[in-house]
Amino acid sequence: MNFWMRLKSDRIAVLCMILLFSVVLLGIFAPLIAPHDPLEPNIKFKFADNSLEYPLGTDQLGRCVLSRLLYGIKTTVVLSLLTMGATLFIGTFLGIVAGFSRGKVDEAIMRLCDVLLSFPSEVMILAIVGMLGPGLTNVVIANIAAKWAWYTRMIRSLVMEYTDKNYIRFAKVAGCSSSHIMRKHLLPGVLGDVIVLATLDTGWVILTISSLSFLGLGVQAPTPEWGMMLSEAKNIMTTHPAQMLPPGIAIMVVVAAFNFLGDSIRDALDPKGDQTKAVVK
Amino acid sequence: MLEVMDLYKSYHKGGFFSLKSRQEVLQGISFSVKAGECVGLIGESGSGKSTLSRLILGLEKTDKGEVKLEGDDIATWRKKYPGQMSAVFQDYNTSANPRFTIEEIIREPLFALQQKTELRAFILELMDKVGLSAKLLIRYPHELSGGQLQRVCLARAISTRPRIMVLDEALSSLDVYIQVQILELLRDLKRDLHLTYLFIAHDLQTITYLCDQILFLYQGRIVEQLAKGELSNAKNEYAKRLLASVITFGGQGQRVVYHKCKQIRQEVGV
Repeated sequence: MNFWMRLKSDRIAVLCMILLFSVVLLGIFAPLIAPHDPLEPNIKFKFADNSLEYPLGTDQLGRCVLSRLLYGIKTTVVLSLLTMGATLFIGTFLGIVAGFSRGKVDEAIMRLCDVLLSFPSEVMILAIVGMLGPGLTNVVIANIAAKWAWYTRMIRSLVMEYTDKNYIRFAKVAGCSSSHIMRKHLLPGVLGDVIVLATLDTGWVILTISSLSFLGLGVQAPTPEWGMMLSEAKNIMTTHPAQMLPPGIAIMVVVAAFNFLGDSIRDALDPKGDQTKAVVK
Repeated sequence: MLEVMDLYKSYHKGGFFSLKSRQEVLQGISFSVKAGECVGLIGESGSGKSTLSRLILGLEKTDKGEVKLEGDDIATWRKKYPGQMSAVFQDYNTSANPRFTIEEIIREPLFALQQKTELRAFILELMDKVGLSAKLLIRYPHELSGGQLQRVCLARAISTRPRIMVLDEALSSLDVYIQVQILELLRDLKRDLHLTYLFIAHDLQTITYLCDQILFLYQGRIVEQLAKGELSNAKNEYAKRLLASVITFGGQGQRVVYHKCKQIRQEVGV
């Protein structure tokens, strides 16, 4: 059984993938699906209850909560995926360079990582956003800047671990090219481990973007974003606590889906998983 | 064919500030191996056998001294004749990529040489040679026993028809019947392909069965070099001690053991 078959036979993984895929689709087609303009205030209908016209009701300015939630996907989920992708790309590239060269280049990259890693990542993100000013692009930049060092380290140590394996030694001895070793042995091994971390971390990035918006440093006021919506709902928590539910649940479900998917990918990547399942069956 | 000249290798003892303290592993190793010859390297654990094999395979750089194959250094030689050098390692667990099936494992060196025709039949032939069933080809390494996996590694190692092969404790993990079978296979290969071996082991029995020359490695130095027939002429204390520990088994003892095994094998019909 290969990786995809193993992943497909895992019900939780399939469920998570369907869920995340449809969330992304909903985000992309939000302008077509959303019943209302997410920015259009309608003070007459503020705090409206669930109805056919407003499936999730309206917020304190009378905007449709469902529409805001749908438009928020683009900012929250898509941006976090973008952040993760960029981090992973930088991390993999520098990690493999460092792990393979092992000389002065390695030293230089590692000491730079040490410097960056000596700040707590939350403080680092706040500092960078503070310097660059609040805004969506800056939040993404700050997240990448805070995370790449950690990934570079991780991938470098994985590369070094893999290059010490006998099968890579054998491939070198047998005269396989470096690109063959990279493609067949190193990348599948390293990426397999890293993708698990990445899916788990995507949840973390969503929370960071949301919490920065919550603090008022990320997305600016009218733009729909889940953390932002939560932040606005906080202000009227005592009078209308139900306002916090839609964005809160949306964040929770997506983060949980990413975490479960990460776990499933890890299981599916390990061919040894077959054995235990076979015994159970 | 293979020439090792005045080889030195040391490792950091570890610790960032202890730059000066190094563990000397190999101290001035020199020997040469003729084409078609089998040289056995024997020594206790920690004597530098595996380090020496890694240096000869060109996986690590020497501190001082040279390793030459037909006059070239390893990297040049390997570029000139890809696939003509091969190895079997002691630790079979990491010798095969856990994500590959057995067939992919054996095919890898062939694939790297761009030999893509009629691979299937050839792989079946190799599996047969090392005494494994063709049914195993679709399995993954963790589904095989250690002995089976080590034989897969051996099949992979001989798949490119190498001219020189380093066996680093390759048989230590196998049981005696299979050891005998593999030793016979190695001897046949040596005859048919004119293969040159560097055979590293810690027990004398397997070495004397296969090797023409025996080197005794002790604390990073070669303390004695003997041809197969002159084992009794050992002068060095360590070599003598090592030999004595086997010879108490009986001068003909090793032979007897192997003939016994062979007999049993024939009776069982393996």
